[in-house]
Amino acid sequence: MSLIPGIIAFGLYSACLYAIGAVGFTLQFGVTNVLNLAYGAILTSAMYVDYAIGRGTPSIWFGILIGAVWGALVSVVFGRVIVMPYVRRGASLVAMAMVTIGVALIVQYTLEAIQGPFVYSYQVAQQSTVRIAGVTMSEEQLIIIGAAVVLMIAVHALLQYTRLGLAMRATAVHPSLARSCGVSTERVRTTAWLVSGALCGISGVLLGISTGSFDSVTGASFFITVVVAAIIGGVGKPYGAMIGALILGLVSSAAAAVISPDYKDIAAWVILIVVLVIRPQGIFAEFSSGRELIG
Amino acid sequence: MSPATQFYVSSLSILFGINLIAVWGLDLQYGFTGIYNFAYIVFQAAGAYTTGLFALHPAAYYQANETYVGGFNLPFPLPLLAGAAAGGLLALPLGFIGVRRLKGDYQAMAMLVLSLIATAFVNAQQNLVNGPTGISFVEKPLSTQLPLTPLGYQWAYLGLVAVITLIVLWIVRSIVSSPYGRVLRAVRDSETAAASLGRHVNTARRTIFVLGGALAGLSGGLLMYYVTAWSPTSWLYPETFLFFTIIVVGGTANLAGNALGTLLVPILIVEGTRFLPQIGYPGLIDSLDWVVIGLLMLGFLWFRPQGLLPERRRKWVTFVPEGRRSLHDLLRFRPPSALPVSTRGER
Amino acid sequence: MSAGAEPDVPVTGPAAATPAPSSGETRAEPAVGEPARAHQAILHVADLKVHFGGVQAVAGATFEVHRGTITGLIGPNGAGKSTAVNAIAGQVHGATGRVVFEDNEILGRRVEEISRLGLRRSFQTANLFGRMTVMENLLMGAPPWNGEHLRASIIGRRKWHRREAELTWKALGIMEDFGVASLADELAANLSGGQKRIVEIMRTIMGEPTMMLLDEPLAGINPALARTIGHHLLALRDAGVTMLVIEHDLGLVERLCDPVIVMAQGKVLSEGSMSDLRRNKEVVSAYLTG
Repeated sequence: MSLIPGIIAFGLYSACLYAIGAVGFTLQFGVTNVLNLAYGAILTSAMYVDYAIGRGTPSIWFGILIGAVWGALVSVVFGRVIVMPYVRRGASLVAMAMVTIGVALIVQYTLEAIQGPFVYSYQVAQQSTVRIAGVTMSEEQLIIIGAAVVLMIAVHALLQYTRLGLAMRATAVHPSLARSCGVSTERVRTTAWLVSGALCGISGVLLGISTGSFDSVTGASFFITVVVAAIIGGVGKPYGAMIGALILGLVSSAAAAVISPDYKDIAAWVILIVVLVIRPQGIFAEFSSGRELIG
Repeated sequence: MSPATQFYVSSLSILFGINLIAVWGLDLQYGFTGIYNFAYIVFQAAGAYTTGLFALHPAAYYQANETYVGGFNLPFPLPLLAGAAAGGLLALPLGFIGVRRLKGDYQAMAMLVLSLIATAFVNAQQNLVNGPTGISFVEKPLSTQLPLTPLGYQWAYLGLVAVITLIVLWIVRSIVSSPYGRVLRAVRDSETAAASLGRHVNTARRTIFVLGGALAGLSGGLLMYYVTAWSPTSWLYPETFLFFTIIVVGGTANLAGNALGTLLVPILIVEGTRFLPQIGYPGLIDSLDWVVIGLLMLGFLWFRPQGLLPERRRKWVTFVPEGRRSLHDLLRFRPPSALPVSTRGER
Repeated sequence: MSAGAEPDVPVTGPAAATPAPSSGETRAEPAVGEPARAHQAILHVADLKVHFGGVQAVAGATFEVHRGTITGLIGPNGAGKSTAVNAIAGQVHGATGRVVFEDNEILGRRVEEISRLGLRRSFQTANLFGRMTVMENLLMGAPPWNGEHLRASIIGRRKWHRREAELTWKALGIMEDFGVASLADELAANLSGGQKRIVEIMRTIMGEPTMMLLDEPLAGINPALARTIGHHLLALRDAGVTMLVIEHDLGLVERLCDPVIVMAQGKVLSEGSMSDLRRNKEVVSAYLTG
């Protein structure tokens, strides 16, 4: 079928976009044990900041930089000033979920209050296109794919080949044991917020640039996709999130091509429901001691 | 009282009753049984939509370019009952997905995402309930049959809402103060222990999920009949959060606390937005409302997570006839217990 | 404390059946003065295997627990005792083998069902209902009854008032036996560790189980309290309740348990009285090396 190269190409492109966001989200949960439901609002704010600073010109490299810095900054502040104090105060996990949703509301609606409910559009620059294996892709799309691959390799390298990455993995699996082995969980958590925050911001900016326009609720539907990708792979498992993003990207792309473009989102929903019913812990997660997520 | 004031008071009171029914339904799920239903608003929406679809004529009748299923034009109170039933029925598939095996904050997140999906789905499917525009033209029940002025009708509707609220209070209170209520709280506090004592944990959770859904649907139906129009903007995910804020502020697992929260939170929002700076885009007061709600939730979870009226401790003398109090005593407002509950416990 | 209960709250169940029944069943008559011991296995475990997180926690355990005994289950750390008990109680997925309780095959059945058959367990870390009072915890300990349904709460109010009162008095009686009646209205989360342990045991007793699985019931409890609880357990045994007790304090085991089963490395190593086991070289070396 001549649709297949297009499906794969666009599927990979979508997967790359989702992967950056999903890995950030899942890394946050894995290391800090907090399901950050303000993630969507934070990535939306990155969109706004990039637009404001760049004055609406969609420069990907600049955007990635802005997104990374803003996302990292906001996430570290969020993690240390809001999340950790509540955790230290003994808040239950569900109370933490409510805290993060509260912050999401505050961020989302502060953005709306400041900027209004308008839709912001990037100036459409003349795109040069490239033709690969019979598929036409824009330069922008290829750059995004490239950026995603680089980021995934960077995350992989961080986790596998650095002491910090090892500490993060240890803290994710067994925090108290890691602590008794001398790992400074405080520093590890801050680093997790930094790295995952950067990914969050980058994914937000790239989302805005790739869709061309956004408003204060654009982050919400992307958040669905990010969460679904993370759930497929198992929350807390970065490699799982990458695989989840890949599956999601390809399936939704196929659905859009074969059935109808409306079905792109529906594919994500169906996959989520199937996963929650059949294997709610996702592909890779086992959920360590004390962390009861499923019964 | 001038007619304007009367309208204002009766209007607030109607909304108070409608919200209270929904809040009790949610607290039954959350405060008493430990289910984290962050998609609760979808159940109220289901009730509202169903009531509308059962009360309206088919879409073509209005020649307003609306498309929706149904339009059975049934007389009151059938659409209202259908709304409650819809809320309960929706709990079956959603419960199967989100309540059967998911726990804790993971369940909260999954339900939240399901809520977002529901909104996206309705917006995309124009033919279901007219997409983003929503349905309207619902006639207030018996409005043409009763010879009342608009103000008079408003008071009459308040009477209806009040009666239904009292019935719901009777039902919820009976459950909560019964051995079954104790089973629910046991399931909330420790599923493992409850199962090891022979209680059917999943059955209890499923049942309360359906019951809460039905109450949400009932609330939605009453709301539909009152505002006569309903669209996705009325039931975005933050609305669920509003209900949770009401519960956290007023008092988790405390029916009087729920009432206090329902009364207080709207007032706090209005007062709160007065103090927030008017930043940037003018006239968008509604946005600041949500900022205040977020701050309220954060504030209470920090300073007083159990709420203004914490869960009542049930003394054992009330379980035996010799110590069972008179109705008068039971209705009397009881001050919070002297011994504070440790804030480290599960909320 | 007497072996029986208060006159207005008669103990039903096994205690009533312990004297030789007149229905003509063949059952060994207990000698006068000897604790009731029918030489029948109330719990039969055959070739139980549990694979747990990459480790074979239980590797083919076979043993029996006889009716009317306090049977000890001892062994070095990692021997698989807790896992075996969890598997018997129905809390472990994927266990293989055969577990029979009073002619019921229970391996693979759900926790709720096994509990309703009369086999109850207490938890190693007290698993109480923290936001409920001690009295409410004990009321939850009673076997599930028909007042605990949704329709009963709305429609049958008068019916369950009486039963709830009966259960309340019974619970109060148990609390008085243990000397903790003053804690009745205390929230379970506010109790000390030792108090929580007592409530856990009281709650298990409330259900008048046929058999109890006790996972280290006396761990971390001061010796005086441990001795008191031990007395209560002995009294329960005399009333006809069977117990399987995991314990590490061998002195306590010797005082309470007969017979004693030894597990090591996921299998049953030996069985007998404590004095026999002390002389068993295999057992001694398992404790030193295991």
